Amino acid sequence: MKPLAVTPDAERVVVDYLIAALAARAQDVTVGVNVPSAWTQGTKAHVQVGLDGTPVVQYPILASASVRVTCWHATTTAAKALAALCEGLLCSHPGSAQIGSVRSLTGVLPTRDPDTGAQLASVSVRVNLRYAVLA
Amino acid sequence: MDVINLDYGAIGQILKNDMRGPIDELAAKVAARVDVGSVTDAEVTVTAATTDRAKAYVTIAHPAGLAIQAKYGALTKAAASLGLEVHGGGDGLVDYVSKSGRRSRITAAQAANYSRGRT
Repeated sequence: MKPLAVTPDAERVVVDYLIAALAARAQDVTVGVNVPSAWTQGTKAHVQVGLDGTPVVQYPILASASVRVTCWHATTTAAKALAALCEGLLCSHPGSAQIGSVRSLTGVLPTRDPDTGAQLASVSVRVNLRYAVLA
Repeated sequence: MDVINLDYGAIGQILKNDMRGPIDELAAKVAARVDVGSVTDAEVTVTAATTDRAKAYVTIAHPAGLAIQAKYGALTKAAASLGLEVHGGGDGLVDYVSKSGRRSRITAAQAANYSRGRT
């Protein structure tokens, strides 16, 4: 019989990891799952983390989540640099109880948000989540 | 010794012709699941293409299309809901046919090098 097991919340673990890793590199940014629709040029740079789905599930061992990281910045250069840093931090994730490994899916892609004028740059990664067996 | 000869021409025809229907069908399903949110005039298009195999492109044909994907993951969510994972394009390799007619997959730089002086 298979054990009862659950995956961690991909958004939660990525947000927590990026908050710590970006702070350790002295990046003055906010990190969250929210879309900052009231963003202005004066707003602090924002790292938006979104779970786009979990196309591969190998219960009760591993689930591969597609996670999109979109950086909001005043200039496209800064947005792309921040997105590249997030990609590097994620792909060099050392592994933990929740995350087995992280692989790159799509590299840095810039665009502009027509609603707020923010410069956006996004990357997407595959986060291999480890199941936790429930007692 | 037994030898297995792969019929690359036939494999190519399967990838180009037999896969045309299933690819178009899947692309239409992905397109139908793309949620463009409040950008109600954004059209989601499907474009069929053939390289060395049948392909289809699903596009948010709107100036805000890239931003819709960056902010809401509209295309990736639609693909993931059908068990598809979206990743960077291709393996970076190209089809190369040697002077003797042998076909192989090599990098673009290798192909340019091998093809020097050939017309």
